[in-house]
Amino acid sequence: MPHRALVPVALVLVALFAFARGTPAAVAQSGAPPPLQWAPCDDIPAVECAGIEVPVDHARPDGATFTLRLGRLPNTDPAQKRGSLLIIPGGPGPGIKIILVDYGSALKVDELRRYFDVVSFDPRGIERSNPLRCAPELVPPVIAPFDRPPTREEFEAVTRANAAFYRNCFELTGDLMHYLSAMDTAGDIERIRQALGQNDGLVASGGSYGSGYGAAYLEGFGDRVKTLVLDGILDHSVDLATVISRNDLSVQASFDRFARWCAREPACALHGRDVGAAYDAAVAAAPFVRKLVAQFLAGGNDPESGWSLIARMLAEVVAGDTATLDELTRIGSLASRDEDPQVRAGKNAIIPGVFCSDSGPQRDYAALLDAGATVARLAPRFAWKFWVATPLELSSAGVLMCAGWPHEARNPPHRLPAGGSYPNVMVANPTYDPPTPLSNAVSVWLQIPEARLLIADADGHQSLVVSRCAFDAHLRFLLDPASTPPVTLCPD
Amino acid sequence: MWSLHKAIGGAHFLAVTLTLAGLHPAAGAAPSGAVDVASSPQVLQWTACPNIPDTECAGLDVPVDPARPDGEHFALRLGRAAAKDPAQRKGVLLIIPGGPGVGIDGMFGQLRSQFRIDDLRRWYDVVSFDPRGIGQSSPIRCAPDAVPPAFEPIGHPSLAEFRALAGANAAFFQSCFAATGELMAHLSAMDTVADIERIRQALSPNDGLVAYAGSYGSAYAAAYLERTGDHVKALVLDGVVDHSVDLPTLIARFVLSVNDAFDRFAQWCDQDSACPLHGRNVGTVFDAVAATTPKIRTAVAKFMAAGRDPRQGWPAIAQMLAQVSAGDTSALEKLTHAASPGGTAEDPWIVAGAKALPSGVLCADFGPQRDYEALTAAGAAVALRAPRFAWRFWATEAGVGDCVGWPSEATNPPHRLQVGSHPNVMVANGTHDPPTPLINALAVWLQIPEARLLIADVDGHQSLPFSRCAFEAQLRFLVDPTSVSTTTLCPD
Repeated sequence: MPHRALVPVALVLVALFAFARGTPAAVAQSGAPPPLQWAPCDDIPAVECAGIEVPVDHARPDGATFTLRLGRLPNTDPAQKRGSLLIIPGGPGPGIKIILVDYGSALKVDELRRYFDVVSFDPRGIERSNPLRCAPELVPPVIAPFDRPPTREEFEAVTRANAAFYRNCFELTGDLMHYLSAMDTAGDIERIRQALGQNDGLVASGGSYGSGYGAAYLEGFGDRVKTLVLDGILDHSVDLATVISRNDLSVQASFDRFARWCAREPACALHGRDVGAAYDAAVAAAPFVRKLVAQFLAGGNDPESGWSLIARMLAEVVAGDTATLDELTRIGSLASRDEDPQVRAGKNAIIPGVFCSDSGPQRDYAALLDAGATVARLAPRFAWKFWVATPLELSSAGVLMCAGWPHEARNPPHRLPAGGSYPNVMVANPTYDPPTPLSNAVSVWLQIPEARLLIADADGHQSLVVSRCAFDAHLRFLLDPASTPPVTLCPD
Repeated sequence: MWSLHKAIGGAHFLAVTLTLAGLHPAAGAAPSGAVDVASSPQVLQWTACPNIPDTECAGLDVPVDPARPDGEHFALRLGRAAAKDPAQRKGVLLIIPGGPGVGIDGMFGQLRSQFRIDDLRRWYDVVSFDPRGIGQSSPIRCAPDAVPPAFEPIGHPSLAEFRALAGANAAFFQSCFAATGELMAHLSAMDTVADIERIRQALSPNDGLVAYAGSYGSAYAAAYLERTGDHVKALVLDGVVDHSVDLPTLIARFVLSVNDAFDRFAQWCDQDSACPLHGRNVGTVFDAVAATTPKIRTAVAKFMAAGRDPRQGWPAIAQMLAQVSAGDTSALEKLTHAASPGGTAEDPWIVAGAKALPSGVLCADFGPQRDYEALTAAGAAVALRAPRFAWRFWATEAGVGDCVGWPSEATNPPHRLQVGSHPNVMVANGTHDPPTPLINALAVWLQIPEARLLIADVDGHQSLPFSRCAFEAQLRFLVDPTSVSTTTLCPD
């Protein structure tokens, strides 16, 4: 499989899950933080790692702490160096390795390194930053029905299984499990800023769920932002069912664009055929094709990773060949490879852990049924996504992952507080971003006075990944926000 | 870019569509040409319009109060430029005029080439109308001796000045209610919506509404969508007004946008030796000229709406500034005269009425402005970010001053649109539209589920006149709404 085919993996990881933000409790200003001790990471080649101590609960800076791991790719051109750039991971799920290495070429990290020390981190609960731990035997099975909404009995069964699993994770992980919301991570970002010595303000870029962390930072620490780019955006001003519905409708719209591309592009493996029918036939033969199609649509029409790969997979499966399907299944897997079985199981809890802390438990079956019916009407091929309970296995966030979540939202949906002026924030999105549709970005942009807007006319997740023009504009903005006009449109 | 603009606009380009920008078009044509009122609204008698070449006029009987269809009626004047080639005719396209204050004299006269009326005639009977209270649709009448002078304070008005404005306006508005009668209380967008529906019934009873609505016309169209959304076949809103915010917010957005436009204009002068002020500090020149000739401020704020148009936009503004700076005010006089309201009407009561009409519509839709403290706070926020044009916030002729002293409550107060799913609606805007900044369009787009979005990267008011790409996409959309993708970005 060509190297570029790796792109969608991380893409989707960073992709399909919404984000959130909140009103962080004020982070106590520590004194001068101790200097970071950078050393080669023991598990990630060519990347330097360092740890900082951060409070589990930022409202109690003197309470329990844990070590948050940072990763760094040092600047390559000292003559042009401008300091550090923090890349805030999306997901939730990815950390240093995925962002700086697996996803590094998509994020054009080498170009960023010419100007910055490029820094990222394992967000709390992930990888080496106090990973969640859960009992493997309690991981809920994949039971989402694909062709109809769940019955009330099924809804209740999922609620019970999730509750048992999540309760166990709280027990094995400890206190940290209570502090997974975007506002908690925003507190970590402030600690990172201090540790990096960004004394004139945070310089950061947050894509996908990372845009949620970034927005939460803006809300809590807006006066400490020097330059912040949010890209591929989800909107925490609406509830979980709405976030998921928009996502599903957007994936359906991308599928339709993919089908039209196949109709006019001879290079498409399904050119001249009914793409919808091929999809339906492939799904009948191999049900998990639907998950991969939804996941890899985030790759857009990149010749090596997005639409063409999906078309090839569908054509093969219809003909009884599973080579590409198997390869994409392998690449697309979000599962942890950690040796500790409890940490592996904990990976199943991180997506719900963040989402449900930000959006709250889902209890109202009737209301969900209504919202799900609307999705089914407008996005029939992707209505199943709405109901997903097991995001790790299905590479997709759905409302049922928060059925049985045992606590109220810590950082419930809300509009960003009005006030302030942020010409040093850029909100960016492609026109056709499957997991994070443009409407999210527009909504968030309207919530941040004076923010810059960048729209790239492209398919795929996150503008800086799918548009050269957008990347160039991002970089210019990071180097000099004042040089960027209020609105930038990238034609591709 | 430049070649495009050569196609735009005659000498009166500026008498454009937006009272929002303070541009009152020539209102109230010769009252002698009494409208031929058809006995039944369904049967229109088209005859050549007396004053507009190549255009037919007809009268349509409509009730003053749409809620009382058996009450008092008046004749609404329609204008038509019939399709050139019956074989290619797609039906009727209604151009909903903006302003408030623009009617068919403008749309089929001075603005005809700018809005590409004769291009549209290749496919449509292009129809427009004098909205109620305008032109020959029962024009508003006010006492000529009660017309207050334009309110254009140098800085922040004192409470005494504010009260004086309220008193003068109230007396003027009172004279309009007395001389005009019931119609004066039925000028809101919701009232005009009823007229639009009657036009549709008369012109294409068996077909949905196909319409282009620019500037304030977009507010009429959005109201139509709320009231009669299921009668829409294809609707374009362009250069959009956002009725979900209060008047101070709408005006503040407009003033900030004018300020941005001025900065872009100054930047252009710096970069382009064709600018008559090239090599000079444009801001300094403007400030010096404004100190001695305050009305230059009004003219510059207005003319920004013409973007880079050589005759009325940036080059003409620079020329005018250079001349006034050298003591020659002839160009300023000429342009000021061209843009002044009142136009060619002979009846002084109608000339006076044209000055009240924008208030009549705006205040019915946004309500009276009474709270000096709140306005002061909002005005101060504008002054902080747009010091050069902060006075515009308070002014009359597109400022909150228009509704200071308005005697009644809003009949159609600001609210978010309550509409169903509308893939047959396109929301369009330029990136740098002084009177109607992109923020309005994006806010409205989010209020219309499934609506199409078009953004053109151009300077000037409304995308259609300034962007060939936008015009073509809008035309494609009007002919077949399903042929246009969710989002269209026009690079110019």
